[in-house]
Amino acid sequence: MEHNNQQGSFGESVVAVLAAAGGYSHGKPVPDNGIDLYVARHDPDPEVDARIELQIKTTRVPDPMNIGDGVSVRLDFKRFRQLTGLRQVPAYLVAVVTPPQTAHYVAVTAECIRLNHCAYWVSLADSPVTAEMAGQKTVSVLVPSKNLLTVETIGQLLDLGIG
Amino acid sequence: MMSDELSLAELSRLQPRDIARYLRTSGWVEAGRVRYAMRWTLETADSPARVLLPALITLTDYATRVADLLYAVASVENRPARAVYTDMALIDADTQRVIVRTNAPPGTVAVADGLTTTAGINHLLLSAATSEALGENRFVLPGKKPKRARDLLAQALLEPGSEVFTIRIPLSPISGQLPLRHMSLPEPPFGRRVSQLLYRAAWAAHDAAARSLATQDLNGFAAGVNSGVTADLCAALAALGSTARDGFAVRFGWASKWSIPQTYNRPTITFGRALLPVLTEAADFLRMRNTAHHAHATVTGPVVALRQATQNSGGTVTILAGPGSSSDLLDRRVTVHLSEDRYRQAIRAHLLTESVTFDGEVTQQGNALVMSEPNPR
Repeated sequence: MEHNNQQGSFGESVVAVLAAAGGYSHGKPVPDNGIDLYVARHDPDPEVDARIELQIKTTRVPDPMNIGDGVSVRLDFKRFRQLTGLRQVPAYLVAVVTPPQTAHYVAVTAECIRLNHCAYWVSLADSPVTAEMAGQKTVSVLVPSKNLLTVETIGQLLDLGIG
Repeated sequence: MMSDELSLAELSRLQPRDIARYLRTSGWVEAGRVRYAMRWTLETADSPARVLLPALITLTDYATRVADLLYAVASVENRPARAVYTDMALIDADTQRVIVRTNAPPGTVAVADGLTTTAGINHLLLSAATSEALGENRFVLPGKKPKRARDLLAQALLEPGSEVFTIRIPLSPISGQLPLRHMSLPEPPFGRRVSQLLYRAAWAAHDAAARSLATQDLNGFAAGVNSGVTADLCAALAALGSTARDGFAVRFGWASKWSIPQTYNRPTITFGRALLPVLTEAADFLRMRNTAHHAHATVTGPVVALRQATQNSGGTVTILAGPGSSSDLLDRRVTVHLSEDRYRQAIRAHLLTESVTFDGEVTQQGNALVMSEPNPR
């Protein structure tokens, strides 16, 4: 598989693993609306049902342990706009940071499977969409390193999606 | 993209109001608010189905959420999402669905059964359109259907299916701007009035059949004539069920462009198997009852047919009732039995294309109106 495709596939899989570990259902929305993955929590009580949608960008960095304030991601303007404004289902941008070499994506031992390296999230709901942006093909977004994506944070983001 | 898949552009054109109307007429019930959407629920045999209807078209994910709803509704109704979308998007047409399950394998229908159902739908719609066009209640409809009714049948669209036959009845657009002081809405278009009559008549026939099952009394059908029940309608309903494994259902959907009174709030009429022979009986019963006595009446118009029994014994003429006739005879053909002298006068009037006028007692015999003891004017 071509490196970029492999990287993208790996990034989506990492997030899917976190969702599965939390016991949440996940999948690709139909029809294709540019969202890479939805994560849902189903409950017999519909009032507790929740769903979020994720747009996943994967980026390789020389030193995944040292990304400073965060990771800069470039989004198509159309995709950026999808994540802004009022939404019935909250949507987030997720940046998955990987090592430069695909051989280092996964480390398997008898004790554990280690996925390298991390995923971070950001909400763009309140980001302004300016006329200047509309004239550009892409928009640069910083995904902060403080927003580490974990099983727990996925649960918290789902809580925010409840009525 | 699958051929049945809907594009986001198509989905974004559906208005919340139109979707809500579809859900309501399909039996869904509004059940609270969730963020920027309304929750709707439907009781099903398994468990309650739930969908969320986005309330704001300005939501960034409006089209996607409409897609979620559409695919969920399609799954509940066991129909393609495209078909559900079309029902929601057609705001200028009432939609009736006839649901007939036969013994054919799922997804198919025997050719002969499909034709029977299609013919039944044609007769059902034509009977309702004829009743509405005539503007009066009759036990039996005339053989020659009014042009307005035939025109509606020519414009109505049928989407045949294996189990669900969908009928689209076009509604005329509201033409022009209403005057500012016009406080009431214009009269609904002919297509809507036909749909409403069909709803009332089908429910009346259903209820009369259910009562008749218990009481063995068919008089409920005679009372139903005031709601548009006719022998023709009963026969059409019976025909629709003739191929069904276990009865059939008619489901009404109302175009959102024209408001519909709250009284039309029972969208699905299910005719169980037990009701079908009653409907056949009712059709015969109404035909038998079709001998109505008319009060003293006047008929004025041209002689359109002449028939002499034997030489010098008078004859029978048919007069097309025109202006000056009793109002309930207008545009109908009235048969008059005449003595020899009067028959000769009628021949003369016929040759000169003059009108003739008679007073007398009119009775309905089958579909014919017959005037007895006529007096010329």
